[in-house]
Amino acid sequence: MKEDTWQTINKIFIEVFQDESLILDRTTSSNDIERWDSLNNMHLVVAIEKHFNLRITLKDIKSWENVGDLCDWISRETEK
Amino acid sequence: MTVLCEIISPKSDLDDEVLIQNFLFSDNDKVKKNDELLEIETSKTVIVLESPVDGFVEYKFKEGQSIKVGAIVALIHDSPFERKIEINQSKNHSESKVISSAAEVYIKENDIDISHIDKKFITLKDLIKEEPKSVFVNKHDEIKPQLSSLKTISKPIEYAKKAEIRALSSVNAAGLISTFSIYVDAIKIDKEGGLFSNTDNSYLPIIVHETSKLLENFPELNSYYYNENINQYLDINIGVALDIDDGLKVYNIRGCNNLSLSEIKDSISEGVYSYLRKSLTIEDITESTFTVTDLSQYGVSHFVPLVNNMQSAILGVSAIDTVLNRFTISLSIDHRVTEGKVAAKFLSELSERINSNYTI
Repeated sequence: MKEDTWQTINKIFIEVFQDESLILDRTTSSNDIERWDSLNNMHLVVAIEKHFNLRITLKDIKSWENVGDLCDWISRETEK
Repeated sequence: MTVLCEIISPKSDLDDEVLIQNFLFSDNDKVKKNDELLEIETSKTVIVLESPVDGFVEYKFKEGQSIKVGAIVALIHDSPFERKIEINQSKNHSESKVISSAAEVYIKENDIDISHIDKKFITLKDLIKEEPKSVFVNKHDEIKPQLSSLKTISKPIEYAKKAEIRALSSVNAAGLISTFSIYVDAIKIDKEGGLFSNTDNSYLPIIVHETSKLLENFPELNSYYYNENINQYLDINIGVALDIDDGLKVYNIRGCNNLSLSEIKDSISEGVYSYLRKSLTIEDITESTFTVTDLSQYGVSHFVPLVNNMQSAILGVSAIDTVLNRFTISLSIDHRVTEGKVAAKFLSELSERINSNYTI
């Protein structure tokens, strides 16, 4: 995974959750962030789509177990 | 010069009229197939109309104008069009000028003298530049005395809100609306796992699912009143009211009673994603036959939802009372179509279905 993808994802999470102190690792999921509710979910997905110019489907979303899976998926899609 | 096609304002079951928000070309501009021609605002969304063919565009109205649904809003010609007209001979002499259709309407409505405009081809933009006191002057924040002796800040209601008021008034202004409520014991949500598993905590898919099944036995709640007739819908299309940060829109889940809980859950997610992407289509937000509005995330304990146009009932979902471990669902009905006893029975059965089909 590219370092800049990881950094960008970090920035997007900080913006969506409005929490500058947020630190992600590959195993982070919605269980680890208190403000991660269903609406922030949607905002997160749309922000990622917009930033990377990608279209994310429900099938893609359901295939991710953690932030690491999400970043790997972005790396694969942006390299296509 | 031949007209290749007509661009028609799309029909909507919520609106009689729509608003022309913005032209994306000028009259006589060359356009290509699939070019976006104009934006139309309905009570629920903004729709972009595209050109189905290559050609030259002629707009039939002007920006900011309300038009009937089904009206021809633009033509696509095979070559640049010219139309010579005489407008207000006393002001504009006998000199003939080529005037766009939109400009022609504007000139007539505002009685504008175009004789001093030194152009052979006049478009709407030329006139708005010439006549700054046009209908497009922004009157926001204008302070003026109202009926009260107190001064107020008057802000015009946006078009979408006006249309929403009209649509809601058509049912609710009859004064024959009642709302009934019932408590439902809180239930556990089965989570699917994965990255977003902890966010999987909304009752909405379950309520929509159970409501759609139950409506099969309550056809009067899936109907509407019109002209002393009760019209019963054959399909059960549940509209889910969404109001996040781009105004209220009702996303329609078609054939809802034939879908599984999982399909309804996915459909609601798709609707919210489309809302946030601002990509809801006219099909997404029309032809719902019953509405569910969920304000649970705002912590409200009870509210009275308003029945939508061409419907007889709406269900409201309130927040969980974490002390008593229950939440309220409220059903507003149109008494011209049904009655309180039916509403009470529906709510009772819905509560029963939710509590017996899911773990408390």
